[in-house]
Order: sequence, then C-alpha cells, then structure tokens
Amino acid sequence: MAEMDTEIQLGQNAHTHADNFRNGTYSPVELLSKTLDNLEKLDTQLNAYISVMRSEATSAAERASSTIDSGEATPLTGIPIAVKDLLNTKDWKTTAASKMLSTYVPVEDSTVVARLKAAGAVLVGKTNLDEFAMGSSNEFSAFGPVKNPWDVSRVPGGSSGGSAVTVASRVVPLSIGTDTGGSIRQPAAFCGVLGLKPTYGRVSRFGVVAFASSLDQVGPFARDSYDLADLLQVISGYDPKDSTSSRIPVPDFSSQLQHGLDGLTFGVPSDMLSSGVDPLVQSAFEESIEVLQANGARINRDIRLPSIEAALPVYYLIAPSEASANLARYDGVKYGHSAELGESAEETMFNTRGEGFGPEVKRRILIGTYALSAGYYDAFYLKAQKVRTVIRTEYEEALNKVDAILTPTTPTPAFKLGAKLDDPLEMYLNDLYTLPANIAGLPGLSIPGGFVDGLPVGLQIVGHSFSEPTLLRIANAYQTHTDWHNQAPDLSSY
Amino acid sequence: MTTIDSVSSLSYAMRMEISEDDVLHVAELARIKVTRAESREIREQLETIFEHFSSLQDIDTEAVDPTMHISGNQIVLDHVDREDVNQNIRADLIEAPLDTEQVLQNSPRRENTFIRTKGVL
Repeated sequence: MAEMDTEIQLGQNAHTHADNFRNGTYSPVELLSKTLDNLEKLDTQLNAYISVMRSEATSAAERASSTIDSGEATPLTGIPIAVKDLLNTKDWKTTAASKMLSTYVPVEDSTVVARLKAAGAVLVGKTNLDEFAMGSSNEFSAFGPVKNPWDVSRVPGGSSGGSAVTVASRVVPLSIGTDTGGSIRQPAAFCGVLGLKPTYGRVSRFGVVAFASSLDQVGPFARDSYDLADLLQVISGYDPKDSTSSRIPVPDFSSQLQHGLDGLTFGVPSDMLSSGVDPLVQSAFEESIEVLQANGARINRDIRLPSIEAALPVYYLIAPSEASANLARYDGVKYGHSAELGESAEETMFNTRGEGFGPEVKRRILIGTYALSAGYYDAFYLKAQKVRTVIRTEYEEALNKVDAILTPTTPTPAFKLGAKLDDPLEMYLNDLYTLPANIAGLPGLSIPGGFVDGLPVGLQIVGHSFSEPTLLRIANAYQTHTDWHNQAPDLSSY
Repeated sequence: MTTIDSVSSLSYAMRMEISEDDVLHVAELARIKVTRAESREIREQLETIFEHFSSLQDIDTEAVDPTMHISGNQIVLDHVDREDVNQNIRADLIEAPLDTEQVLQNSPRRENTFIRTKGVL
C-alpha cells in the first residue's frame, strides 16, 4: 500500500507529522497547503479563525523544509499551529476579538509566539475568542461566534473557542490559548481535546493582551499527551520581559509520560460534586475514575474543599476588578479604536470606550469598577482576596494528601448557542470547576473523558504547583487505556 | 452555600440594591458611555450578580490575610534562596528602544511625530 503511505492525513498528531517529515514522506510545504485548503473550507461553518496567515505560513513552511533537510529539526519544525488572537504577532493584526483592537498591528511578537517561531512551528492563523478573553461560550466575539464541530448548533466553550475547535476539527494538531478562569480547559472539554493551564508563572505572559493579571496564563491544546508535552516544552520558562514568570528550571515534560499510574493517589472532592453536575457527566466521570483505578491509581474520596463554591464570587470579583484596571489603557489615543473627536478629550474617550467594547466587556469593567469603588472595596474586593487565601489553603491541604485532584471539567456538556447569552450569572456558573486552579495558581489539565449524548466531556486533573510532568503522565496513562481522544467529529458534509 | 441548580433560591447574606443612577455613576468612573436603555439592563444584571457575590460574607475571614497576587516569584521563594529571587528583576541594561515610527504606527490620529487629541487641560 505504498500509495497510502504518501497520503497526507490531516488528522495525524504533530509527532507523526514530524516522523513523516524526517522520513521524507511529505514536506511541511505540502502539509501546509492541504491544511490551509481544509481550514478555509471548514471555517465557513466553524468560524474558528479571525485571520489566516497564508503567505507568512508558506514562507515559514519553506524555511522548515530546509531545516528538516539539514537535519536540525525540533519536534515542532514545520508543524502547523494556530494561536489565539490575544497573543501579539509582529506586523500581523492582533484583535482580541474586539472592535477596540480590530486594526491593531503589534510591533513585537509575544514571547510565546517568538518561541514558537524559533522552534520552527508554522503559524497558520489567529483564532477566534470571546472579546478580551471574557466569556465561556465564544459568543462574545466582535467577529461572530465559533461553532462546536460536534454539533454546530452548540457553543465550543470559551474564551479560547477557536483554538479548541481548530484542533478538534483536525485542521491543525496544536494550538495556543489562554486561561484566566477555565478558558483553555472548558473549551477543550466541550470539543474533545487536551487543554492545559500551566502553573501561574510557568509560561511568559509578555505580549499577551492583559485581562486579569494575577490569573492569566498561556497554555497549549493538543490531541495527545506527547504533543502537549512537546508544545509545553517550547513555550515554558523564565522571561526577563515578564517579572511574574518563574525561574524554576523547566523539566523535560516528556520524561515521565510512560511511568504509568502505580504509586499515584488521586483525590475526588465529594463535596464539590454533591450537586449541580449533570448525572450523565457524573457517570462518565466515575467511569474515568474506574479506568485509572483499574490501572494502578489509588483514589481518596475523603479530601474536602468546603469553600469551593465561593470560587465563583471570588473569581468574578477579582477578575473584573483587575480587568477594569487593565482595560483603562484603551483611551482611543495611542492605539486602537477611536470615536470621532468630540467637544473634549474626555467626551472622545467616553464615546471611544462606549463604541469599542462589547456588552460582556462593558459588564465586567462595570462589575470591577463597582467592586473597587468607595464603600464596597472592603465588602467585595478585599473580601474576595481573603477568601482566595481560604481556597488556596484548602487546595494546599488537600494536595498534601494526594498527587492530583480529579473532577469533571464542566458540570454539563456543550450548551446551545444563545442558551445563556441573556443570563450572565448562568454563564458564569458553567466555570465553577475550572476557576479554583486560577485562584490558587495551580496547573489544571482537561483531557477527553467520554461522551454524553454524542458530545465530548472532559476529565480535569489539578496538581501541585509546577507538577505538569505528573499531569502529563496521568493523561498519557489514561489515553493508553481509553480511545476518547481519537474520536473525531464528522465534518464530511462541509 | 450556593449550588448550580439553586441560584434562584439563594439565602442572601446581603440584599443588594443597585439603582440606575449607581450604574451611570460607575460607568462615569469607568469612562464608558452607557445609554439609559443599557443602564436599565445592566442594573438588573449587576443586582443579581452582586446578590450572588454577597454569599462570600458567610465565610469567616477574620484571621485571614488577602492574597493579592500568586506570583511566580513568591512560589520561587519557597524553593530557592532570596538572592536568586532578586535576580528575577531583569538586568538594568540599556537596550534599543522602539523607533518613533513603531511607537506611533497604531495611533488613530497622527500629525508628523505627534498624536493629536482635544485639549486635555
């Protein structure tokens, strides 16, 4: 079947493409050409991209081809990758899915993008997201909603919806998102791919449009643990341009992948799961626990996270408060959208921000401004920061007893487009299980954990600070014994 | 405590009353133009959201310090000597700055090497 071997399979993972490049089966240029055709065909339905970097990607693929010929390839050389349109790309529009930045062209690359380029990855485009990364459904984009490839009448999750969708729909094997309260893990769960929010400080945030600086973290999407490890390897590490990036040395993320589950104990917080979870999501979760248990893991159901439900108010006070400060920079003067000049500089600024920000961004700025305003600071913002300490402490105590904490990633599978659009609080409640990892600064990984009514659901693993190698090891073991991650949505009708 | 399926049956620790004038005041502080129609909708939403948030008052934080920031550096403090941590501040070296054209290229209103605005004083 020699003829079959030369066929480019877009659904292959990055490490398989890398093998095929090395063996001369096909080149990065050939893979890219097929990738771009498929991208443009599917995107008329899915709307995962805000911009496609056709000619830049072609040049990068040509460079990658010669790097491979000279035998100097890295695991990412020539691999097509998509990046959330929240990360600056030099000389290429970076919009944050906002009218405010719809014409903004950065003069520098974000550190993550610079590292991807240096590793030889081929950036194919900038993915759609909720405006300024504020949202859980990808419906708050100035460039229209992204659709879930498993059911286009449903949301893909957010805010990194486009990055999850493009990996799930087999357009590219890898993508980059950001996660402030679940924005990588929740869309990964809704779309049936892996998504990792690294430990706060593991990955540089330089050149990433800021949302809530004490919570934001950049992270990878992939379809298997090997690819996820390779991508995390490239983007991790100290960056002099981000003083919150950590100097803790970057380990070899692939080294423990095949260590299996023997000797690991996982905590299942029963109080967290006592109510509110879709019963079918709950049974998929219990089946996942059985798989892990059957393959050597021990399960501890006695860990307690009694204040976990406070994560929602804590997050939705701290994040909007930080956002209200971070987004004060959009004044229509130095860059970004500007209203017509009014009677005064101040009037121009009011109009600029009134026109440039969408409804959810305005709502969050107003929540934050209210929470920080005189008379409410102690009752809301300061109180939230104190309860943040309580939640962190509970996680630390729980993690003293176990290697990682397991929960479903989301209480339900992907919901219908429009279902929660008019009820912000309902929308926020969808993030309940993902918020604590950001609040506590811990790493969290969502992996495909089964299906409910034909829709993927995620298994979330939250670990100790800087325990990404353990999370990847768990993911690899789970994927060795399950096939969820290999299931692809049927897109043949597009 | 609140649960996902009992949002509407919360026992509020604090009843919030937010008026349309409050919304307009906060919008003024945030420098965002909000119409009367928008402020009506936002008022209702903020009231619901802040009522939910007031459940935080049920948690005893008498002896708890606030977490201002989960800094990568603070995490390092637990693992590495303080001297190393100070090196997290980048070296004070003179580097080539962006040139004028780069700095101004995204400005919506330019005149030569200036940015034009209405008078601010």
